[in-house]
Amino acid sequence: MGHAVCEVCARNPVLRGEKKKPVEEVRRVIEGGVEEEACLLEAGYLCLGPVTQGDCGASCLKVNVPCRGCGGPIPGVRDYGLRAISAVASALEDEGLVDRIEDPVRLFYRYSLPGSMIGKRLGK
Amino acid sequence: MQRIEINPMTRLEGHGKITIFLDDKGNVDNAFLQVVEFMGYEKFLIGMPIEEVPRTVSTVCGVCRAVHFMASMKATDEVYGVKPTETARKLRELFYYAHYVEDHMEIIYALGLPDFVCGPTASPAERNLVGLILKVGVDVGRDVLKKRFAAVRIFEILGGRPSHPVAAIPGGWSKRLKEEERQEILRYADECVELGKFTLKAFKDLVLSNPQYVELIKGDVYKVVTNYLGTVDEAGKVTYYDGTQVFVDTKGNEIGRFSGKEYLEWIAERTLPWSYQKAPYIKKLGWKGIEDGEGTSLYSVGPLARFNVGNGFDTPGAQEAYEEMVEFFGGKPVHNILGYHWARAIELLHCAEKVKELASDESITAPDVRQELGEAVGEGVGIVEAARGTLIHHYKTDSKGIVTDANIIVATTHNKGPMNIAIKRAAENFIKEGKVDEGILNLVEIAYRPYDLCFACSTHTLPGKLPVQVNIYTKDGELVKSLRNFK
Repeated sequence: MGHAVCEVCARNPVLRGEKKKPVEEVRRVIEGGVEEEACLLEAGYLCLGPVTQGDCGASCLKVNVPCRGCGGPIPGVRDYGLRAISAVASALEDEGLVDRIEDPVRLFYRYSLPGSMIGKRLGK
Repeated sequence: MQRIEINPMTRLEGHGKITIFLDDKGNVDNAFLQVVEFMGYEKFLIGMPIEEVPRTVSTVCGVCRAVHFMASMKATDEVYGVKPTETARKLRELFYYAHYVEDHMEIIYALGLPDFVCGPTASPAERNLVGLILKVGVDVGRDVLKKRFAAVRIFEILGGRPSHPVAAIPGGWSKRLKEEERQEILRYADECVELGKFTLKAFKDLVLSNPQYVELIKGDVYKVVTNYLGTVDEAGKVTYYDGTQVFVDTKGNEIGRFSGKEYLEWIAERTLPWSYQKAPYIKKLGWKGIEDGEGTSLYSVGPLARFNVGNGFDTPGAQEAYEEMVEFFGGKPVHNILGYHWARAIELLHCAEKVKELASDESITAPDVRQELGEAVGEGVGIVEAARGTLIHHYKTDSKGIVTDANIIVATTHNKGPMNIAIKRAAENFIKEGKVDEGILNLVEIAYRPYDLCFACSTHTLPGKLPVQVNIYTKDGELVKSLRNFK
């Protein structure tokens, strides 16, 4: 409990003692061939493993598919989508890559939009 | 007019209720099967990249998750104008057969058999899966559950997760199977085949050996005479992942066949004012109301429909069981809906035998599981036989593959009309002069369980207007007022 998907993912370069590389391009899962052992986020496949609970053991990553956040947020996160946007944006090398992200609401908030702060009035 | 409500309905997937209206003499005037939940996938898929759709729609249901995944994946193939590679197709089929084994097992043991093994009028506290296990023995129950695990494990190896699978890629499969994984699946395959054989034997020993049940199975109370829709291969055998969709009439004669987008020429849906679920009928025959018998335009889907449409099975064990069932009923088509349970058990064995066949093929570990994709052609229809019947996913996209329109017709929706007739017929037969008890109401519920209905799947879109009913109760639970915007 409490570990992110990345922390239990065999693809995580940090767990192999390597440094994370910035994301140089944004790809959809239908583009290019996914390497068996590489970090999908580094390769440009927007994986939400950094902010998602990893109790699944990174199961989607084992079949070469990026995480979409079904496990819910890691502890301490109030708004999953905002934290996911923050994590991905921090990993992008170039700001212009943001325009390559298709359908960001259904990507970052697929399982959490009703619980998000978006659309809610701030308290007095 | 007296009104009886069975709410909630039990041993099904999703939520629904049955409302029975009695006339002044206490006999049944009418009965309605109502779906009281609502989802809405067809709306929120719009705007999503098509390749994200299979893993998303698999969450429509926690039981039949692989079927939406598979139908939408086939639609993504069409959207990109590709056919799956040879190995990807084998992996998809292997995955799908494993799903059928675990899904059919669950429906037979948890939802269907308790009515027979524990007794149709037994107390609900006993008439359930736990009661079933206590009757047949804890060791037997444990062994059956263990064998189901074998099928789920195959599902997980291939699909990525034991719950909602994620390995869909247009024209392919996201993962290449390793040889050690094939060996593991091969071991599990033997357990699946044993489960199939055991289930058929259990059905014979526990159900067919009882003359009272045989009378119920062969009699007219649980009989609904409709047309049937199923999918067959080139040899006319029952198939699930791919094939041609065929309609047969109430006598078993072929009415017509279609594939892909042609479904629009054959199937029309009627919105009903009293249910979120629509009632489909054969478009070419026209809407003739919720009536069965010769000339009806209603059709049924699912294991018994496939049994009636196909000319048999392409594996030895299932074919033998098929011939036995045909002989029992004295020919086809079989309209006795309790036959659904038997046909389901035959399919369980068939799919287990197919798992074994595909896992034995060493070439299934070949590397050709992905292919280059070009620009989206903009429209795709994926049709599969879901465990509970024909399932259609239809998408339109822009040139980048972003969904602009979605339509899903699920098995339980096809069966809307026939199921309603089934519960009405059972109610008319068992409820006389206002005499109703729990046992009698279960005899009504037995009429929908053969269809293996999944309301979670079938309430995926809005009808013309959203029917809403508001009940106002006092703090003691007494109904004060009921307001609704439908008749």
